[in-house]
Amino acid sequence: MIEKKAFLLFSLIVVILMYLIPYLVLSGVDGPFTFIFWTGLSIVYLIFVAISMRR
Amino acid sequence: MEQLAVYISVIIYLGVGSAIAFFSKKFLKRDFKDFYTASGRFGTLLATLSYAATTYSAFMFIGLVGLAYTTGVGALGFELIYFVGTLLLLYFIAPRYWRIHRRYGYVSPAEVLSARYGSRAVGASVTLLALVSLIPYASSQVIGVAMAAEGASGGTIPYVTAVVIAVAVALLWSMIAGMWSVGWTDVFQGMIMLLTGFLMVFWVYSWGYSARGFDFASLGPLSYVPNQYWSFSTFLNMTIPWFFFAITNPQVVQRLFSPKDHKTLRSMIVWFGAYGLLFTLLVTLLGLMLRGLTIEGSFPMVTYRDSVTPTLLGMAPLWIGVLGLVAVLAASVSTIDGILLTLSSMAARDIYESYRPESTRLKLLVGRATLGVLALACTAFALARPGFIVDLSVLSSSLLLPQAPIVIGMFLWKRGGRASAVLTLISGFAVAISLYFTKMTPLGVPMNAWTIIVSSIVYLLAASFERGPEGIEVFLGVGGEES
Repeated sequence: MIEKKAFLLFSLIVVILMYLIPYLVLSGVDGPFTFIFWTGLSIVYLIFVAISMRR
Repeated sequence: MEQLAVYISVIIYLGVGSAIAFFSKKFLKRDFKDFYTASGRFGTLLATLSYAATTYSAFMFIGLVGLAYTTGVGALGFELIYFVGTLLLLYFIAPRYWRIHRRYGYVSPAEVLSARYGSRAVGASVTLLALVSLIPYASSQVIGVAMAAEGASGGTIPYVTAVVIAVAVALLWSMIAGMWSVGWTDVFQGMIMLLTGFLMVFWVYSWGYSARGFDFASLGPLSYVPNQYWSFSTFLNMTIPWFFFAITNPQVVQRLFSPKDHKTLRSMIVWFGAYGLLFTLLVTLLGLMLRGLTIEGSFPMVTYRDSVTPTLLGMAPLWIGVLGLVAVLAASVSTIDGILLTLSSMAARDIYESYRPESTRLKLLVGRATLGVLALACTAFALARPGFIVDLSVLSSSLLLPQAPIVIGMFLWKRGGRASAVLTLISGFAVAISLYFTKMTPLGVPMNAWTIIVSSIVYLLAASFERGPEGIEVFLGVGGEES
């Protein structure tokens, strides 16, 4: 149960970051940064899900 | 010569796909459950590529490429919010659906809701909602194929012919062996889609960028958000229904019944994630790179965004044009046949059999007849060309959004029965449809945020006053037990 709560918490943080970082921190910044941020966070999340699924 | 090559490639695709569909018939047991769910006998490859090919559609090859081209990197964020939301929801919900299907043998997603909320009216309401909502989505697939065919063939394959071919193939492949033929052809089509995505990106890069590389900064405001298109409100409005796609679109929920065991289900989720992320990156990058080429004058400025991929297919060497057309066809057909199959199972099970239990022998016939009616409806809708592919797709998911609270609540809360579920669906649908047509955004909050807020509040309030039906503890126990 604790594991599931931790999974949910981490997932919600990822979702919030997906919305906020590009619109607040990277807003108006030219170049590949927004693309890299969304891609990188999605890769991290996929790895996190894969590890969680193995347990 | 080019026209001949296009026709030959489409015929080869149709021939190989049909051969695979007929081959899959040997797996089919002649009963209703096996026709619609493969009785939970799919291995990892079949389950993964079937889920991926059903999910990823012309929306990606035509809609998302065009959206990235026109609006910039926000298109990537929009699709990756879907990606994260889907993995999150599948982690919690997929094992529960799978176990419930295993224990009770449910065939359609609406049937599970009927059982949980103790009334066939719930399943019937969800089915009616899905029948109305998914026509625009299925039709947008057909529109994608027809546009790609026009582009790749230089107009020699007329729009109407392409529409008829796409719908007829989807209908044929779903009727041959139900979930088995759809699943096996999805494997074939899923591989074509990913491989072609790689080849198209590789070709565009070597054609336009091999000397100096692709510079994101050349895109200017298209390389970040917010920009002229992606205000935060627009981003929120488009991502909300996409976030819940995995639990509100019955054609993908039904795929959760097909893995042969729990380990296969978990592998399916992870491999689907890998496929989805790669495919999303390829498709979005393609749109952004083409926009970069437009800025420097190597690729024409395309103002109608669904025409970006068809324009590329018309300009590219023959092999890329032909492969691209086949990939769009594969992406579209693999989604349409999945939708047709699921909707027909819901019509047969949750409306016909539910209200005419004495006529169960005819339900497979009803299911097949529904396939035909839906195919005709999709053809008519596609011929009207009512809007952009992305907009039609998001509209479908917006109308399905009111299901989200009752699906999540089904596994988490013991309260709530028929009234709670039906009221939630009606109120959410009413909000979605009225705000869509009036284009109103009360208090500056976008339509889809209102839909999920209103339907969630109605669900919580109504379920607070309504007990769950008898036997729900057993139902929740199966759905919620640890593996």
